[in-house]
This record gives sequence, C-alpha cells and structure tokens, in this order.
Amino acid sequence: MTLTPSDKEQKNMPELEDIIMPSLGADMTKGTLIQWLVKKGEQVNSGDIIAVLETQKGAIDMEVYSSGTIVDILVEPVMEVPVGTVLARLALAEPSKKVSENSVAPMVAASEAFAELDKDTSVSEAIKVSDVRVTGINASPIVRRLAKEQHVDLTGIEGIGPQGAILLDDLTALLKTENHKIVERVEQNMRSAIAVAMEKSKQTIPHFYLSLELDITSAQQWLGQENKATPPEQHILLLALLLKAMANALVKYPKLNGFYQDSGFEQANAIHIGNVISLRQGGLVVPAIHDVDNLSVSEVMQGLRDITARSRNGHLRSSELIDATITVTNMGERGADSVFGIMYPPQVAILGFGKVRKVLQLVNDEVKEKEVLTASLSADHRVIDGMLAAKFLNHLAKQLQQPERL
Amino acid sequence: MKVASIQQMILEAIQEVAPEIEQDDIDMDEDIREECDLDSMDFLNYLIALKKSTGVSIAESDYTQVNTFNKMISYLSKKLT
Repeated sequence: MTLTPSDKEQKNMPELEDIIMPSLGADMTKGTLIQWLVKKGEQVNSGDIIAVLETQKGAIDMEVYSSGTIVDILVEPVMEVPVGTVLARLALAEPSKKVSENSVAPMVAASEAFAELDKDTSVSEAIKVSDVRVTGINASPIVRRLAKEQHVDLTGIEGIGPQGAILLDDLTALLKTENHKIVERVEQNMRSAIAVAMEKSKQTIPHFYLSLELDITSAQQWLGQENKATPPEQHILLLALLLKAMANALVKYPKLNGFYQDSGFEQANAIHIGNVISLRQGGLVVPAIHDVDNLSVSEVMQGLRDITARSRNGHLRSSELIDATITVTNMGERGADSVFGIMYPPQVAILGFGKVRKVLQLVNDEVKEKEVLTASLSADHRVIDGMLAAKFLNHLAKQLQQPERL
Repeated sequence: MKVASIQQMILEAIQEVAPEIEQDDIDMDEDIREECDLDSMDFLNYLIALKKSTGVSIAESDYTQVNTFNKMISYLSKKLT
C-alpha cells in the first residue's frame, strides 16, 4: 500500500479512534445514550467510565477501551442509536494496539446477524425524549423546571392546585407512572431481545448435551468449615468453588472456551465466565467475571457478589457484558435438578448446575451419605466432540474432591 | 433499641436486595427466603446490609436463629441490648 500525502500528514497527528455504541451481547441492536460523564477536551484512561447507557440489558456504565483525549462528541443525550453508531472521537495517547477489537468483534458480528431484531421490537420511545414544552402551562416554576429536566410533557395535565395548577405532588405522581411505563418498556425489550437471540442460537448451532453427577461432599464440608465463624462479607458460596473448578478444567480443555465465527473456531486467550443472573423484575443479564483461572476462590466470590449487586442497581460495565468466553447458568437454588442451557453465540458451550441433593451411595461396599449435584453441558458440535466434553466434566468433578487446593 | 426501629432496619436491608418487597408481603413467621424469594446470594447481601446498619455480624452457624422476620427481630434485639 502506498501512502498518499494526506496519509503521511496524518502519521504525525494523533491517531483517532471512534467511540461507538457498543454491542453488549448477541441480542443487543441499539442503545440509548443517557449521559456523558466526560467533556470535549477531557483526558481519559483505558477503563474509565465515560457515559451512562440505557440498553435492553438495563442501565450500563460505558467504558473507554483506549487512553487519550476526547476530541469530538457527536451524539448528545438523550438519544437512542443503533449499535455501532459513532458517539465520540478519541485522539489516542499511543498508537492503537487494537487489543479490544479481538474481544469485541465476535459480539458485533453476531449482533449483525441478529439485526432483524430492529424491525420487530418497538424502540423504547418513552426513553427517547426530545425537548418538551413547559411554557404556557399552569404550573409552578419549580414544577416547570423539574418537568423540563426530567423531560415530562405537562400538556393536558390537570393538577390539584388552584384552577388546575400543576403542583409538585402532581409531578411526582406523573413521574411515577412515566417511570413505570419506561420500566415496562425496557422489560418488553429485554424479553424480545432474549427471544430473538435464543431462537437464532437454537436454530443455527448444533447443540449436544451431556451431564455428570458431581460429588460435592468434600466441597460442602470445606465450605462449612470456612464459613462457620466468618462474617457474612467473607462468606463463600458453593457457586464460587464451582466456577473456580470450571476455570481449572477449561485450562486443561480450552476448546470449550472461545468463539465460533465465520472463519471457524477461535480459542479465547483468557477465561471470562458469564453468569446468568435473573433480574427480579423479569429478564436476565449475563455479566462476566474476568480471568477466573487467575483468581482465588474468595476473589471469585467477591466477583460474584459484585456483579449480582450491580446487576440489580444498574451499574454493570459495558466490557463485562461483551467479553464472556463461556457461560454458566446456576438453576439449582431455584429447585431444578439439572438445566441444559441454550448457548450464547458466538460462544461454544454453556454449563448448568442443578440443585444440591443428599443421596446414599455404595463406596467400597459400604453405604455412605453423599451430597451431589448435576452438572450439565450444552456444547457446539461443530467444535467439540462428546468425548472431549465428557473429559471436561470429569476433570471438573475431580477438581471438587480437593476444594482446599482450588 | 426499640423493636419498631429494628423492624425498620430489617425491612430496609431486605429492600436493598428485593426493592419491590413491602412489609405487608411478608409473613413474619415464615421462612424469610421463601417469603421474599431470596437466593443464597440475596440472603448473603441481606445479612451484609444488616451488618452495615446494625453492626451485628451473623455467622452461618446462627442462620437457623434468623430464618424468619420475627426470629431476626429477637436475635438482633438480644445482640443490640
């Protein structure tokens, strides 16, 4: 490739990077920019939270993936835009290494495959608001100001004040209904997003399934010892041990950890485990705990507590929703013996954990009481064969026999 | 501490993990996890929230003494006197 004169000029200029509306998973096609947390001219570091988004996955803190200076802000809040829309431009502090692209690209590609979602789902109009008219309305100044700030249309509203004047109480009541409508709309969006992604996954990925009963007697005993006297914030749940054991098994069987795309299977170079978290109001999010193989069990537990809390209060970070390399669904608590999940493309496996059961087992001709749970694996047969999947499950089972070594 | 204010603290701790729950939704003598649909992570976060507001740390060995709303009130009342 030859350089044109203008290219040469640009070589001395700082490299510009587009900051786009991220795809936070195969099922996301658009998002709403709610607020910028940075200004034009501001310096940012990789990992900084620069904006708040409202998405089909709830409120999200958007991170920037490179360090540099914000040179342009192209979209102003509140605005709903398709995934991939350039929101701002960043002048890079250093030439880009294109690291983030590897992890982001699969999800973007998948999300393009799900683009038809756009046609089917209704855009959250309630969230997308433009300037509202507040003049010429019988309302107190404070109500007018708040209505403008909150983008509430007061036209046609009859208040409880003199001559139907709209008072603060009216506005509060109104905001409550509006919020309720928005929440309902977001729930509906999330439902249709899940529907489209799961339907596509089941239709296009050749799933196969297998399960193994895991003996967790030693694991439970170890947890009992560890938790007996510890304060609640240091308490470890079984799931943390299971995730750690799973990460160790993935180190040995890395074929289950990666993405299947047009070019075939690409093994991921880190183990980020996505955890299916059901939201109380319905729907689910799948934030990832990063580098689980490098964390201690108590660090995995902290990670779990952290993503659960932030799933509830809407402060998940964008990176957590895009870079899972495999997914776990833990149905046991809710009372099912086993769960065979549907894969989250372009991942190639999803592991389900069922509920803990007490059973009697024959060990060396003696009847022993054991605690067990069923681990069930759904895997992509284009990449993984049955024997490999079975070996993975058996290795996972083995890890749990020496919980103190995890 | 008065029972009423302990009750309020317990409710607030529950609402931190389950914001939609109101006092009327809870049968005070039934298992709190069943009543409020709390999984073990929610239950743990509920205990952590209570520790923040009351300073009382509840260990796993005491779980059976705090598994209903009323039991939690008497457990905390004892600890806070």
